[in-house]
Amino acid sequence: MSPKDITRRRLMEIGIKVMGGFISATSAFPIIGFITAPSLKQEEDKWIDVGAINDFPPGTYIKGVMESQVKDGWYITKERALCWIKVDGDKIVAVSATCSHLGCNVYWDEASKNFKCPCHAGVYDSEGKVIKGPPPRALDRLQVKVEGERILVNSIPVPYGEGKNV
Amino acid sequence: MFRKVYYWIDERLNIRPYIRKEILDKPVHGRLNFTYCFGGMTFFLFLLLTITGVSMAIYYVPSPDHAYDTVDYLTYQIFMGKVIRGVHHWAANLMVVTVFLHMLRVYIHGAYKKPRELNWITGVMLFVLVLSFSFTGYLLPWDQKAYWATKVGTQMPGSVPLIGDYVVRVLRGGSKIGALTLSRFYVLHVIFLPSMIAALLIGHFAMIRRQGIAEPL
Ligand code: HEM
Ligand code: FES
Repeated sequence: MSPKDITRRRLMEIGIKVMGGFISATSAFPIIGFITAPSLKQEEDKWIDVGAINDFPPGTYIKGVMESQVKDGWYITKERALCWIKVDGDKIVAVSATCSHLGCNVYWDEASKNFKCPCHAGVYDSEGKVIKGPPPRALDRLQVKVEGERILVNSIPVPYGEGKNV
Repeated sequence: MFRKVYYWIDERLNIRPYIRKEILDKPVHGRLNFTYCFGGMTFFLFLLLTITGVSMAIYYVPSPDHAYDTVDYLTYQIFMGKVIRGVHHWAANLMVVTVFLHMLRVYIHGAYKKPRELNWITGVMLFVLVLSFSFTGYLLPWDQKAYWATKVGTQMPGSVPLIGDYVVRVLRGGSKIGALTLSRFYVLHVIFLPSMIAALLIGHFAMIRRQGIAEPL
């Protein structure tokens, strides 16, 4: 099409399309950004006190309650999560209670020495490795540190076999 | 890509001649000028308000404990928050201006006369709706300005004889401005008024199409 063929009508049509496209694009950017912004925010890690060493008799898993203040958008609230802690001499192990299948809380079954998930019957051994059921991978570990008599665990879980203190 | 989708739809529904005839090649009388744009500008602002309003509703919570916090959060913590809220604010103010100019243009051109009385009547209803949007939206940030403006605004019908006190109570959801006022204003602002205005606009536009734009005097 040579410039000669562009009628006034055609020029108006092109103008409408260009302006419409420009308006849509410039409004889409802030709108999509505004709506999706909080979804992309990374969770910050923090150290959470789960109790004194003496609260955890050595040799077996004891439930650790991780209670922390979180900023849930505009709302400041308390969040509670569970982990399983075993004190074994100098070594302290913290296993995340979050099932690797769909995220229910697993419990420690003293009789069979397994972690079990109530939701879809996933079973893990005492290391957190999968024995049976739908879970795709081992239970995550939590980093542990001791400050004075207190046990602190990190809020961001680490996959089994990675990181230190696992 | 768009072209392909368009052709795919066109192949089935044959919309192209319709778009040509009704939009691109639609004849209008030759004496249009920019004052005829005020209605369209009002409609454009209405669309902007809808988009920005729905976006803010994702964060806003209409309760006395949380309204102020959520507005503060969506304005200052969320990406583009100031822009989205600012556009809503200014579009709302401008809409009152453009709708008034639109009404003025229709009045000056005598375009409300037979056969267009019905459009004038829907127009008056639209005007009332636009002002109600402004009034109900003003309360939502739940700050001092919002509270006292709504206190004064809802007090006014109180001077109407006999039913005045009743009207005030219905508007407020009780004798005081509080949680009940906030939630009913919220529902008016985001559900009731938008659906009413959308319904009336369909009628408004359909009638313009049917009758054509009036020639100036
Ligand atoms: C939400 C508010 C409104 C919107 C979006 C709107 C939109 C429109 C549009 C796009 C037109 C086409 C012609 C033009 O733009 O001038 C129009 C025509 C008209 N409007 Fe409105 N309008 C609104 C409110 C009103 C009000 C408040 C009145 C008067 C009380 C009114 C009375 C009319 C009349 C009588 C016509 C026909 C004019 C003619 O044929 O020349 N409208 N409106
Ligand atoms: S969530 Fe634990 S087995 Fe499905």
